[in-house]
Amino acid sequence: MIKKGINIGVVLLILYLALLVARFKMFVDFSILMFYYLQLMGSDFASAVNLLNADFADYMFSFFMFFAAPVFLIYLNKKNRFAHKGGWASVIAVIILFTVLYAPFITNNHPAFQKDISVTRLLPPASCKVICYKKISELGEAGIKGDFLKKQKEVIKNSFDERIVFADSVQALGNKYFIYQGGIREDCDLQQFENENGIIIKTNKVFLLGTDEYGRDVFTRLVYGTRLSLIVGLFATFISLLLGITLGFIAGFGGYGINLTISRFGEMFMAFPLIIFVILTLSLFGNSISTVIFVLGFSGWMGMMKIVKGEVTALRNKDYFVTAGQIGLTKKKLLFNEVLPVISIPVVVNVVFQFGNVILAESALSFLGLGAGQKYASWGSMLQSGQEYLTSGWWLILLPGTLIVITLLTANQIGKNISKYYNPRFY
Amino acid sequence: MHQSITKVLLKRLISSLIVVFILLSFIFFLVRIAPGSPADRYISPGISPALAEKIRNSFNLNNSLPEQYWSFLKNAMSGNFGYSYTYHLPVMNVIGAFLPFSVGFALITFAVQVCSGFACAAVAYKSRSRFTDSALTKINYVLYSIPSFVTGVFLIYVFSYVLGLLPSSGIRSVEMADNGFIALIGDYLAHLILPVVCLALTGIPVYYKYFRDSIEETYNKLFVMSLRSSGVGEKKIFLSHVIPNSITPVLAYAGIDLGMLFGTVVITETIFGLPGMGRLAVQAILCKDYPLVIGCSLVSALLMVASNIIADMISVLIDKRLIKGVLN
Repeated sequence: MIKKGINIGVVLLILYLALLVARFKMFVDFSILMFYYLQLMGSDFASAVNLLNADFADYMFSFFMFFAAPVFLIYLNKKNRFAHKGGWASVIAVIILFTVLYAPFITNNHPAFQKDISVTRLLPPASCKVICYKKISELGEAGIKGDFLKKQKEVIKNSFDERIVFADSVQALGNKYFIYQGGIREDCDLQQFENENGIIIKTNKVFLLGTDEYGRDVFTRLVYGTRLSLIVGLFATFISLLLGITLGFIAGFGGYGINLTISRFGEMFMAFPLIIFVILTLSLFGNSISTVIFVLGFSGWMGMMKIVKGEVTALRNKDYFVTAGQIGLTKKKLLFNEVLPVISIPVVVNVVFQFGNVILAESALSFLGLGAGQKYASWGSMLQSGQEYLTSGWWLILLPGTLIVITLLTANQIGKNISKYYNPRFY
Repeated sequence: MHQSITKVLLKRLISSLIVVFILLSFIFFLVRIAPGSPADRYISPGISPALAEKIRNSFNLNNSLPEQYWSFLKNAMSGNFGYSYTYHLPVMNVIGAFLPFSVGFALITFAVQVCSGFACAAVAYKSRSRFTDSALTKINYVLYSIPSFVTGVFLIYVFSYVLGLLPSSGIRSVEMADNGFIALIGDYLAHLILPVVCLALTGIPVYYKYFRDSIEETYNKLFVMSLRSSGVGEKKIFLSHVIPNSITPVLAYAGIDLGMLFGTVVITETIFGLPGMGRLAVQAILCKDYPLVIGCSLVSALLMVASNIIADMISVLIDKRLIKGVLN
């Protein structure tokens, strides 16, 4: 146990409370939305199922996770893990995980939202713009479904919202209003905008980390990019883990021929620059989030296989393993009691490093334009598109670049910490 | 002794060539089972079906897979890897035009990596457990986590845009007329500085770590103590005893790394717009230029094999006892 360091539980609690305070209205609104949805499910189940799209499910997941979090924290407190202390790497890892879990509530924006590019294009960090709201006459449905749809439009952010109008400034001249958009003055018809007794309703919108060339909020895109990177990393590492362990076991326990075949196959992949292989497969079979996951997963099993094979081969000749077999332990017991504990430590260390490698590979692929596609925000593609606006927008390359570096640094440091914990002699 | 060295060389060469052969076959079949035909790029919807059929047939992709594979093998044996679809030239000619730059670029970067890694490690060891040592270790640890595309973009931003010192892309300036040989070389070097630094920064930390450990290990060996006790100067110990002894363990890694460099230059070449093998391979892949893809894979796999074997041979030349390790 690390003596000095930052208390992980306190970090979690601070993040949690900060999110709760900052987005309290959103949580309340979403609770009402959930209430409507439950009512709708009771009355009209078929349309309730139809209305469940990816975005809504995403919000729902984050919402439930938000209520599951206190339970988890209390559990940790009971186990006395609340006082666990970690270095800076654990703190950053906790923050990144928190961002991934509660992304919709942290950003309160859609990653692909763009409107009025003349106003919002390439804004530097911490710039402020004015929002007016257009009146849209809606033919809303009556009943619970209408209520639900109205509330949903209010709470769940879309990639397009016709009500919002961005402006550099809104000025009143007598009882006429003028909207300035990118240096152009436009007359503003009060009938079309939301107003209160003839005074136009306007709010300020702060772009915390600026906007990109299409007027999309960089902060939102970074948060969703974190999500993409971590999801790809998680699944791809899982595939490599499964493949590596299975093949390693087969090679370790199998005969000479099997061992040689698998090892040579692994060597074959190692004897070739993997990035070219990955690019080849992705361009041949089309790049989407699932192909990226599969290709990165299938191209990362060699290291894992080598480690498992080495450990298993060494284990087979150890006295205690032979004795355990002769005592009459079943194969299942041998696997769970003798083999897995031995191989778990190097495998866990390898998994963490592999995770870092996959995140790196994913951003490199997005940088080359072969990532999960334009549909998803990704650090690599943000960096790549920012490269073209080098002269006018430094934040477009600095922010995603820094995030990639910080994440990789964290993954490497955590892997190093784990390996240090289990093999203190090497450090 | 000499006989065994040739035997080992042959054995390794043959097993590596088999691996390369299997790899090529793998890529051959992977490319052919993929959806979409390269001929589609050259057929516009307006042309007559007969002409379209003629174009399709000219690609020789209508035969059955085993037939195609057999003809590929027969041609490959005589050194003919077909015509590139995009360049309309024999594949080997296209690669021949791009290869020299890539090899030169990789070798320069490799030299920079190893030298600066070793220099950092030597400086760190000289000031061990003092500020310089820990600072160098920390800097290298951070550098290890910075991917080359981030470094590349930042380098362009700082040196090309903010400071305006170095060119940001390409290998020679457009307005460079015949200003003489030296000006030409200078122009090439100016264009190469940023890419080399960008690529080397990803490799330096690894060499630093290896050399730092290996120098420390060598200094702790008994023969250094014996040399010191017999009055040999520190400088001489370092130059003629510690350096050769600490380089050998790193060579095995260096061989693999040099081979990998030929592949990992892809991203650096893309950022800086350099005419190299990596970019050629990626372009060939994106254009479905199958013969060129296979040619590029063959060349990069062969370069990898060659650099591994050369690294082994150098380590054997430095320390004859290592032949046993290479044998296995």
